[in-house]
Amino acid sequence: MMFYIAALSLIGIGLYVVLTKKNLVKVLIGISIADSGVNLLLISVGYLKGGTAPILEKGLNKPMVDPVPQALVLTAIVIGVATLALAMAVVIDVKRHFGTVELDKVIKMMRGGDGSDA
Amino acid sequence: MTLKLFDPMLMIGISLAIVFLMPIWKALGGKKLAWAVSVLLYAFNTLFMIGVAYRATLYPEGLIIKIGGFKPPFGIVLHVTFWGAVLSTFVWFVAFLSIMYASTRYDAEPADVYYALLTLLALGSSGMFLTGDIFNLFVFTEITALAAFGLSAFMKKKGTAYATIKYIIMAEVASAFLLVAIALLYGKLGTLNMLDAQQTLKTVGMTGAMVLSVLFFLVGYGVEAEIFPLNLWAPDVYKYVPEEVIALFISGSSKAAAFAWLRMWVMVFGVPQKMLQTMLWIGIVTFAFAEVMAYSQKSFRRALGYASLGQAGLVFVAISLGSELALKAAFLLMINHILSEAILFYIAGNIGEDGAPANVRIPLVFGFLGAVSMPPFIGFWGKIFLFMALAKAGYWVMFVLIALFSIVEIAYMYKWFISLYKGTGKMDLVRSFSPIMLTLVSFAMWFMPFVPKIMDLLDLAIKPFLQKGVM
Repeated sequence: MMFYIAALSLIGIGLYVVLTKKNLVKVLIGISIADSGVNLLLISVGYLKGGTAPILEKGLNKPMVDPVPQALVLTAIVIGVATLALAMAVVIDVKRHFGTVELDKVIKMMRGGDGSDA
Repeated sequence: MTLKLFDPMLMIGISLAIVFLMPIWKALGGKKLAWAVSVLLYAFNTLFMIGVAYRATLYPEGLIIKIGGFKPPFGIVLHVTFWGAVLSTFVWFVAFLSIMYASTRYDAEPADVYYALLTLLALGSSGMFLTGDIFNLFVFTEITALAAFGLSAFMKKKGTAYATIKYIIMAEVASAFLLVAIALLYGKLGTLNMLDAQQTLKTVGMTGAMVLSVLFFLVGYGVEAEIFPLNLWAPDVYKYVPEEVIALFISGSSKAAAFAWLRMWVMVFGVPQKMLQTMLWIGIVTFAFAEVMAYSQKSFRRALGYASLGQAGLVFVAISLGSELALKAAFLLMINHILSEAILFYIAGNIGEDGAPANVRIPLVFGFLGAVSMPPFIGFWGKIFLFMALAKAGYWVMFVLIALFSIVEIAYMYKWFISLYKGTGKMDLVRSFSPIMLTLVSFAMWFMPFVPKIMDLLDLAIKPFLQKGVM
């Protein structure tokens, strides 16, 4: 239960940051926090109190935790890193073109000009 | 059996091998070799997927391919349906046309990365069409999304940077929702195999957690499938990103997300009746919003972008309705959308001062008529099926709304057609190859009603998705 509360609050904090912050870097941090929350949630779905690693081995007769969520989270972490790096690269690109990373200012600049210089 | 050769895993494996060796092709023979290898790969994959589609016709419930020899539901499986195989063929075909088109794009540097991203986008969406496992579906979704972000930002212009960052933020939040949806599903059902989940769900029933899971899947795929209000990134991307990439977005990532929604909503969850109304209204609002916005656009590419959202909305309505007729409609509308919008986008990148180039006038006519679903085109039958399905289910208000906004669509498409038709410019011969090829394909489709047993194919396409007891 603890895990679920922690996971959901992490997701909540992340989404709150994404929705309220204008700074693109902060938005990406928010996404990253939400991702961590989701990963924790996934792990806790497969968690078993007192369970061991899901490896077939002699002498390990205790109940095992579910390996599928772990595999899923491993994948999700890797994907999250890749996406975050790519998003940061795009933020650098935004900074280069607009001179700011504040989303509202960027939007204002796009709306102000006709944007045909793309 | 020679047919056993047509194993889609082979396509995925070969494509991945070639993508990751892309820098080596470039080092060996420069940009030209990287391009040539990609062209050959796409052509091969197109033909190969035709073979796979043919093989899939022999398995009415879909062909199950076990990966690594593990028995389902423990191992990952591909569930190759005729519908998925056809869409996958179209992805590789459009990718082939796009890379032919991209040979004239000298400003895309580094070119090997560009080709690699095009391949990954086509590969990821093909995977989404073919997979039968939700974990696998998630991985392919992310491959597609990452490739789409990369392609979207590739030109490093002002507009692309702005459009891409909005796209990434929306898609990433959506991907978090997708994972939560998967967690809920797995926590309740204990399986990620779609066919297994379908069976297990029948005993569990649509509990609160499952309803939440459906909603989160909707958010997760709504961004790529362009469902209102998650589609607000799309018009900017469609305006600024190169046209060959947009053609691939339309046939690849957007269709794949719609197909994933079909898999989840129809196949796994079996069209939950208590949420049906809501989904239909979301689709109708998407369609209506897109058509109204498209009507007021000053730029042709933005108008096309909104028109494309409208089509996505129709496909969403058809899928969500989930009856036999509606699924047939969804199948036809998807193909029509790929053909007509891709033609128009290829041309839209080459419009001069006075209109579209003169040497692609016939494709232009085909594109426009296809986009508004006129009679000889396949989209017409799709729309008729959709109307029939809505009427049969008794949704008369939605019937009227769709008819009404289709008229809006015809109105602005006609306006754009008139202003573009009289152009005198000339489109680069290499570039004009892509719209002309697509035009030939959509012309060939005119004769489909005369082919015997064509209706059987349509039945076959939707067979694996039909639920017993649904309308």
